Amino acid sequence: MDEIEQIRDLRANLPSARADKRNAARAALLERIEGINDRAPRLDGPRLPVRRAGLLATALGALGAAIAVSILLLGGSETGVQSAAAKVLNQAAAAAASQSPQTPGQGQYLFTRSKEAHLVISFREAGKVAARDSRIFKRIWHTHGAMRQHPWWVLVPEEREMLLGPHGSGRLREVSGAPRFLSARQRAAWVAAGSPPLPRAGKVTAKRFDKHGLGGLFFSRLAQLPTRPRLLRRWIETHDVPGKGDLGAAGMTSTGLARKQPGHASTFGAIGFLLGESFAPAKLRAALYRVASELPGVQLLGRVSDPIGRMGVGVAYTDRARGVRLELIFDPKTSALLGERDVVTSPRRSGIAAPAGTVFGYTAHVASRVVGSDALPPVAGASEGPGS
Amino acid sequence: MRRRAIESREPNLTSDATTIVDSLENPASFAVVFDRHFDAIHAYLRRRVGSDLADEFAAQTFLVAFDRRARYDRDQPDARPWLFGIATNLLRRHRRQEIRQLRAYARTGVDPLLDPFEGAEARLDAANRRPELADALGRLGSAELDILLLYAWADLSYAEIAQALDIPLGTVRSRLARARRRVRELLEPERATTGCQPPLEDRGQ
Repeated sequence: MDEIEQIRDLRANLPSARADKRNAARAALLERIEGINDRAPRLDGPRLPVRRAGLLATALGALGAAIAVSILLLGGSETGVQSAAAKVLNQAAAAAASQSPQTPGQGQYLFTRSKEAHLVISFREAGKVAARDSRIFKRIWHTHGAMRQHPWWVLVPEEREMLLGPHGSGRLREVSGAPRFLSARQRAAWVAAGSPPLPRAGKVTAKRFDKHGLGGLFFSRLAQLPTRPRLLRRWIETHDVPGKGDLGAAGMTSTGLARKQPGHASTFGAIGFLLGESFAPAKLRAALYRVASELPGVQLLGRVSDPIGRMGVGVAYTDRARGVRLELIFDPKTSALLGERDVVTSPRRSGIAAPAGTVFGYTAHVASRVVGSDALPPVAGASEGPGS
Repeated sequence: MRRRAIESREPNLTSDATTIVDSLENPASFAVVFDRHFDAIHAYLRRRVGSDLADEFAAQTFLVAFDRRARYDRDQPDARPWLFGIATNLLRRHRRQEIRQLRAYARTGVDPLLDPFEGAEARLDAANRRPELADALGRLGSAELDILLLYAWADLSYAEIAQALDIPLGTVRSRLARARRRVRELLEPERATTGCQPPLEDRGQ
């Protein structure tokens, strides 16, 4: 073996790039690309969105060709300008329409399991450091100016299991995993704050609910929602659907003022929620994908891994005002939503002290089936999902 | 036989040059370049400075490449040399760290880039005299080390290395020959003094 062969064997077996790191690098590049698009001179006034959509369609068409040719080869031609993301979403809509519904009958429940992670944010209150789950923190952000000082944030993974009956009653259990700091700087801030207790790994939260499951959107109500995309979009825009506030899970900006939700961002978030736990009827799921396909600004990410490493097709909406991006990853064959991911695109605008590309929240939908009892399986222990 | 990175050749798709030129008009198409080459760039960086810095530099490589895409040589269909050149330039700021790691490997027999739990791999390395090889690499000058590792790890040809580092082809030849001779001397002083020649296929480039 000569010296070149020996060098080739040296460090030949190091592990390959982690999927989350690769995704973060890709996200940083897309953010740079989007920044270029933002700075592009506006040449033709009111017609610009159409022109830009055309350019994007061409560009993403090339992207799609390289990474998922089969995804883009759809039958028939469509009139007008349609982005690569729209084509993929329309294909998912067609797949969704052909799926059998997972609706529980009387005495049955839909069982779902997911792995997710959310931010827990600390803040100073009356001279002490307290912590709040970001999912409720955003609701009280306006009224607590002192909370704007947030010394450290951690990402807390969670395994969530739910049983949902046909009319909204059910059970929910969440088991926390080990918290992770978003960055070394966040960890240093936590140490500087006196290393206050972090959310405890293995903590089990269990509750029963009645008529309130999923923000009131249980099966018998979902069956009444419009399934024509235009009407469904209007319904989403005018109703308080869970998920609308999730784009920018912290729900805040560096100025401490939660900005008005841009319509498309909140619509995209609501679509993610309604697709999430496979409880929507097939026609509604198809309509949701069609609404997403018609939403301006939705981008194709191509073939990406979901938060637990399963490969799927990703689409994303970047909320530039809030400096965050929501990604939806789905199985193009079945239309099942595999997962969602919240990514920082601008630390300054998001108010999240972590580099662009940092994942600050995710959900991976692991299981979904109709069962005949409201008994949850035994707790298998806290599981730790992937973090940044 | 010299290994070529045939996995990056995708004859049914447009060349990197075409994609990069297209990205001047349609910036989003530059993501294709990322999808084709990120893994190779990351793997090269990982072998040189470990996973953490590789994550950072690989991401940075594509940001720099995107910013400089207007200056890309359209006559080069394959963007790998260009990308490896950018990655190598980014490494220069961490040259001392790379040398320290190679020397630590040589001294302890355990590669600091390996996961600490991979003890078996480390022991295997010791058995294969890889610490001595790490020592030899750590003793090369930075220009020679870059060329040698672009050749051995990035799988670039002499001409591609010249393109990556923007130096004459003759300089690549002479520096690579010098680097290989130096490594041979350090690994096997007796064999090196006999004037052992490199394999034929390498001399032909």
